[in-house]
Amino acid sequence: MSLLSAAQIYDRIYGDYEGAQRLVISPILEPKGQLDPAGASVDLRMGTRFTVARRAKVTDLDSNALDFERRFGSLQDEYYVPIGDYFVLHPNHFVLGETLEYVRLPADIGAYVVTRSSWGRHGLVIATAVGIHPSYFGIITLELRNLADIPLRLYPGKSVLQLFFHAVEPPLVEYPANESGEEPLGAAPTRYLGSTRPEMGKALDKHEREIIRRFRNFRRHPIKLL
Amino acid sequence: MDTNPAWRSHVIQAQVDRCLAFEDHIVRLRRREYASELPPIILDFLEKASGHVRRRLRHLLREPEFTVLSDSEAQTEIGRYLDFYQGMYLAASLVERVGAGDGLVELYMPLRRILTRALGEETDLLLLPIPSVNYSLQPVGEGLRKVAKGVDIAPATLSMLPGSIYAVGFPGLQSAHFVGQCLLAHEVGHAMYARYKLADVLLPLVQKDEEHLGELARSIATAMPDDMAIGEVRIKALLSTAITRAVERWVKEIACDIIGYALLGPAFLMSALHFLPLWGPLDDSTEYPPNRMRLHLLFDLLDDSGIRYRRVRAFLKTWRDAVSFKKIEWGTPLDQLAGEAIMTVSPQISRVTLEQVKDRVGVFDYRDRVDHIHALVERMRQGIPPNEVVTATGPIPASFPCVMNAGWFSLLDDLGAIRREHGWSEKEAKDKMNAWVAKAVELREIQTRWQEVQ
Repeated sequence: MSLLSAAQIYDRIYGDYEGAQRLVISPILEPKGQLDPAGASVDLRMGTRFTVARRAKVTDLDSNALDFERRFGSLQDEYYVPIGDYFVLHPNHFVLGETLEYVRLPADIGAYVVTRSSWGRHGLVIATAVGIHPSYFGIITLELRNLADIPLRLYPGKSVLQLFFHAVEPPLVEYPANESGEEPLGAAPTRYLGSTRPEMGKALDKHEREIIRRFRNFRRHPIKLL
Repeated sequence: MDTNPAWRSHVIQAQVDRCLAFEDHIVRLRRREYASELPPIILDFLEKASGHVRRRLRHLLREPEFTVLSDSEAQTEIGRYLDFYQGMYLAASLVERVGAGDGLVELYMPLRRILTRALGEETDLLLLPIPSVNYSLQPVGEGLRKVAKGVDIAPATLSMLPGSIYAVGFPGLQSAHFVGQCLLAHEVGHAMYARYKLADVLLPLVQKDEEHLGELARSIATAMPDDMAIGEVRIKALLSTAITRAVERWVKEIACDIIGYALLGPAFLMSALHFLPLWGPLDDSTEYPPNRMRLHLLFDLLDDSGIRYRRVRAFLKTWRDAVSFKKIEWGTPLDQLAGEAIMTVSPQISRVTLEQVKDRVGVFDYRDRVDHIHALVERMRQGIPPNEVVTATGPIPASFPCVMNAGWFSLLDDLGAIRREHGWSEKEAKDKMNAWVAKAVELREIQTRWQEVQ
């Protein structure tokens, strides 16, 4: 697994690649500033939407609950903050944000999200789930948390993270989704594909949920087994 | 002179209480988030104006000119402030609805750009959901300014407002269908129709069929019982007035359709095809002209030879056949006389309207942008928002009409393929595709503005 250099990233974005072979990062508002020829990453910017859980209403977050997405999905507020305005992230506050840029990775490239060091020094953590699978397309949801003692102003349009790319060899085999849209275990994740705004986590997939449910039943009624 | 100072004092106190309650409400509205800067500006204006009126009311009791008035004259004087509050409440309720959700925030800037290009820099809009399946446009700024002047609001407070403010309403429960919102261009057309005084150039084109009008008047006069007879000449005059009113209303709607098409091209037509049937049968006519007539005129503007997408062409052909399958069934003889008078000169109405729009904001001709639109449709096929076109010199932001047209073409042509590729349900795929178009509108605006502010 090798890290892609700036020249290789540039080539995959602007070079002669067809369709899904092309690396898409759109828009790159300042190509020279965001894609430093001496580096090995692309800077991405803060997007305009933030999602915050309604603390006064959310009792807990149980991603194994059958109605998790319906119940939790309705207990969030979304804020639209146009470029020029700002969002205040208070100490220890957890908020979902998004990249301004929409990305599409080819099947032979994966990526990692890393907070820009200047923001890290202000106490901002930008992602806890940092890996992006090959063939992913969508905005990147940012899991924002302020670890410092003082509130931080987050300005949409500002560069906040770096995206590092690495080659995947051999390229990812794309599993076709089945008729119900359910992902088989181990397939390329499709749950968040095509996102255009920050999304709260989806429920565990049905297979995992069922296994965990059976474990719980086994503890309660060991004789009956499964 | 009949004077009752105690009663006057009660009436004025009631008005002051009204001001205080209103100002409290403004404070609550100020706590909300708004996607544009206009709602907070309007709230500042309303708060200042209300404070001014409250102080004026309190001073009234001490003013010699007021104390010498009779009670009925005093009531008239206080009544001026009642009118003022009607306007204030209306403006506050509009702002309240803007804050009701983030519906269509992506469309605010493109619509504002069109409005400022068409009507001047000092134009702004409130884009708000309305609780009906309809679109609307309501001028707000003029009314506010008028009532504010009536109660001597300081010029500095008045100058806080932009020159023109329009409240543009969209069906709130339909906002998820983003590409369908091209019909907002029709509402922009209403603002242009009024400002450019298009009625003055379009209505003289329409000539009533005097011969048929006379025949209709004669038949009505003949059918009327003797004790109700009002004479053929009088009947003809009444019919003529009714037809004139129908022509005025219908020509306005048709001209706004033409402006909508001029601004957004086939995407506007496809939004109309998606929306207008919700209003009932194609031949129904109300204050609006029959949909068959409106769609017929829009199809006359469309040259679909440049549209390369098989399913889009099939969709348009199905509709064109359905619209032209039969002649319009007019609801009443009056509708027929008004409608046929308009249809006779419809090419001239289209030509004159397009010329007016072309001179001021330009006309979008999709045939000049076929390659751009095709590149954007390709992006949608790849699951990417159609916000930019990659050229030999680098990416350039797509134009707003190109994005909306690419969105419609892609939805009609590629929905099935995209759905199958990712295992999405039809609704999931439609939601994603609409979201990509909305994202593209937002991103292309940011890209454009990023370049402008360099």
